[in-house]
Amino acid sequence: MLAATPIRFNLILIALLAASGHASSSDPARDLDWPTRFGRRPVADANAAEGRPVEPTLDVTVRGKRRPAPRGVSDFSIGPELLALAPHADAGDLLRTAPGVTVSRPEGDAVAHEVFLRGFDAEHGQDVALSMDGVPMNEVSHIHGQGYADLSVIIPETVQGLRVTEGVYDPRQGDFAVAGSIDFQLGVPERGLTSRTEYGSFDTVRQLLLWAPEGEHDETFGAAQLKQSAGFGQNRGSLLGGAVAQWGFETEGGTLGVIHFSGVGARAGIAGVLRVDDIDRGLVDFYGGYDTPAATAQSALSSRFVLSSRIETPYPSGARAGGSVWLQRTAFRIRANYTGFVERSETQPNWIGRGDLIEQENADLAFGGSAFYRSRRFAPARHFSGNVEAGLSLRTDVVDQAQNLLQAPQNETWDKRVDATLRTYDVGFYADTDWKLGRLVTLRGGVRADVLVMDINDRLGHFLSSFNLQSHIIGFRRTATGVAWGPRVSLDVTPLRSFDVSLAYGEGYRSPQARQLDEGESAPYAKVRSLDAGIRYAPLHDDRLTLAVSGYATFLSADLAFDPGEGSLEHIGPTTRAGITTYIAWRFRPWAIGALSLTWVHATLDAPPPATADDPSPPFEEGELLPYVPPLVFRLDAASEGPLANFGGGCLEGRVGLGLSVIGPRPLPYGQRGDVVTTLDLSARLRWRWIELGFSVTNVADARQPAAEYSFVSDWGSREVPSLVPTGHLSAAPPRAFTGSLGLHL
Amino acid sequence: MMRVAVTVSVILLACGETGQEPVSAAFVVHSEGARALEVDGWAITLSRAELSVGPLYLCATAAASPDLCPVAVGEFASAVTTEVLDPGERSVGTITGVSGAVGSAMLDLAIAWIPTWTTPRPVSTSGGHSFRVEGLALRDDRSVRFVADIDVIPQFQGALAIQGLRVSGRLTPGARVTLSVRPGAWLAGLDFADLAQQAAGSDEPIELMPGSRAYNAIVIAMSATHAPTLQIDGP
Repeated sequence: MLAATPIRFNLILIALLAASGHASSSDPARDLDWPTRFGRRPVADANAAEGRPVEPTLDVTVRGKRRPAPRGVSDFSIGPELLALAPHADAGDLLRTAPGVTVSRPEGDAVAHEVFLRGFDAEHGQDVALSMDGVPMNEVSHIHGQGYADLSVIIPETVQGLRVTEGVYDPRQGDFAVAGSIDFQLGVPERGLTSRTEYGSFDTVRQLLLWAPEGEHDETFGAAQLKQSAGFGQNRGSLLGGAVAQWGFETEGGTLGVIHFSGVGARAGIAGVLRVDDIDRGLVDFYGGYDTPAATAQSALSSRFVLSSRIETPYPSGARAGGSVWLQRTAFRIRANYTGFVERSETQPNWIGRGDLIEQENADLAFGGSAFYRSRRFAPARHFSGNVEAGLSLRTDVVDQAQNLLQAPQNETWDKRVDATLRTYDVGFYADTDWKLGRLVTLRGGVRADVLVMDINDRLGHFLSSFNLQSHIIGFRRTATGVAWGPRVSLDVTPLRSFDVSLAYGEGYRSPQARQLDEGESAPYAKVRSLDAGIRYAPLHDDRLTLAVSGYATFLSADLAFDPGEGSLEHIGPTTRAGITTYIAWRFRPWAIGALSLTWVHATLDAPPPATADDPSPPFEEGELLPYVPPLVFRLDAASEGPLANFGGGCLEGRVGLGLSVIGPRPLPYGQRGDVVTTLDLSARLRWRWIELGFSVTNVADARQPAAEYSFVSDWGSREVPSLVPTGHLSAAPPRAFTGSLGLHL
Repeated sequence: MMRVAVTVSVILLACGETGQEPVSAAFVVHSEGARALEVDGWAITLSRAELSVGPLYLCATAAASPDLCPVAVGEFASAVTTEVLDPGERSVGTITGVSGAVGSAMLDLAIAWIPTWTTPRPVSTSGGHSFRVEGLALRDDRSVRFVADIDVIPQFQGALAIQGLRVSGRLTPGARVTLSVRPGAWLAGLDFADLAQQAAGSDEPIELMPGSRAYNAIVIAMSATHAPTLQIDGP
């Protein structure tokens, strides 16, 4: 029934259009990387006064948004035409277009993507600061993973660009910018009303409604989407609904502003992770799941609501000032079983073997904002000019979180592991400068500091099991503070036209998981030191061809890795990454548009993991590779489009696109190596006037590949005596899927 | 040029490993022998002594238990039965795991209480009991034949029968893990005079029943006072 409704909706629209003979209005500026607005009005010509023929003149107002100055070679702006090259299922999928980024979604459509960037396994966002027009998407001290960032609230058709800053070289980059930061920039260059209905494999239906009133800013739009799928394999069905509305405005004085609100809710089943040896023995299908309620009861639910506003004001002196405020409410509940039946209750220690169905709950009410002032440009000498900027950011979160063990199928609670409320406050401030030193040299940089205050109400602190002598009342409230600061600087030299050589250095941080802090502890930020050196070259002196090559090194003081027993992240010690990224983008419109990136990285553990009672002498070898970090990431996005025929008063346009990812063999624990993972996605589109037909195929080769790989201990009853030696586990990536779409553009 | 690029790629990709490596090690049971013993003046002659061992887990911690050893360095995830009547070594299987330091071990003697089992029971690959013994005790003009099927049972669900067994060594490829047992010592605590009295001249062997003083003495000797010892030797 759900599939029939969107199709019927579009058929009604077609009938109306046919009756009205309405034509779409395509915005010729849609291929540009920045938003524009055209205005048109007739002007009384002096010729009219003299009796000469009056030709209508056209006044055009072009407004562009300044691209932020790049910080090093590894600072990329990816525009709408590059984002549209290959099919993308959701906003998180758009991250694949960024050099060196791989993403997967092994836990289903209601759990955030897992992101890899420049040798960092950022899990759900711990090492990448993700934002939506400056509104932070990462959640602090999230129970499922520090820096958890679910991007489902972003509707992919409303994204007109990504600003990808790899490394930490901009003082504006805040918490979680360890590998870098990615900002989703929203806007709809093509104005009008769009309805798109998609139907594809696994009974996947998606309905999109998008409106962008003509004559308004690209930032003014509304969109809503509904997506439902039975999912591939077993227990992967999902339902998602989301909407966004923005209003971009400009005052007489030139103040630009945007008011935004958006929301999303989703629920999805989770098939879970499978033991590789069980798959090899034929006990469970690669796309299946374990046939026990402890596995089939896995699911997740998530929601996010965002309200934000930002303004920027120019001054006659050339200075600029601006600010933003935002309010977010997120909710998350996951039931996941990674280990089968190995856990014992801490509350009632005689309870064991009831199934390791971990329930995690995280509810966050966050409020924050930012402000900045950028001075006018000073020019104390010829070829010596620059400005300075001061800025601040504020953020406060109230987080309620809990973790229990449940016994399926009735989901009775048989252990409580976490019950806490966190209040966190982050005050950040920075100073930045941008100076031209002569004709060839530009120095950008400054310093940033963040003060973190945490108030932890750990209601299960100083825990006593039922077997212990009851010597006190359970609960442990504590507070902690900390300061993180560091320089961020980049030096660009332009010895030749369109040829830049860049050096950059920066120090960033990641805030800690609040519950791991002790009373009065100086909040131990994970500090990162990042270094980049590279070149950028545009041989045609415009954006038709861009080449960038950079080498980098990153040193992280405290890395995190996934612990399946807890379903969250645990410390593994300091790590180093060194690598090279190559990026080529070409825009020979309309026939050849594309981008190619190749990233090689060598990621190592620098010291043994922290000693524990389980393992007082963790094994360590100098130069030991970090497991799961792919050493090679190759990505190609390419498309070709153009007119095919003219008829019926319109032009039939065609477009074909492809996205190819090749991920080099990941090092796995215990000296093993994974396979090379290759994924090819294809898309095709025909558009005639206001009608668009699309078709896409993802994973064309129908390759059986893991979306995520792990190594840990589990017992699913597949052998009489459980093994306590870690073994390979995986979550399956989606098989080949076909999707057709019908779009209407009014 | 392509060959150079491929070669360089292979070299770069192969640069380094993740630490540790899969390991297989020989698992050996060494018996002190128990064909002829003397206990409190009684001359004991055993006609049967079979020991079942496993599962066994080698742990990095110094006090192996399910709580302190959720992840093992090496394991024998099965159970096997071997005779221990004669002194010497016998190969019983293979320890699999990863390379690393071992601080202690925990094991069952065929009777396991896996977390998902509601009651303890023998592992299917074992002989069904931890220790099966038959023998004859003689002193002066008294004699008693005895037989016992001893089960060393874990104390609670999810536990193992013997925990915190100290061992120091490294599990490496080609290593050898030796479990040494003293079956004679397990019988040293028996009161054969009392058994002879219970037998009261019967020709039938007296069976040591679970819960009896003699039965419990053997269980305590096997699991505590004369528990097996472990040794890890490199290749």
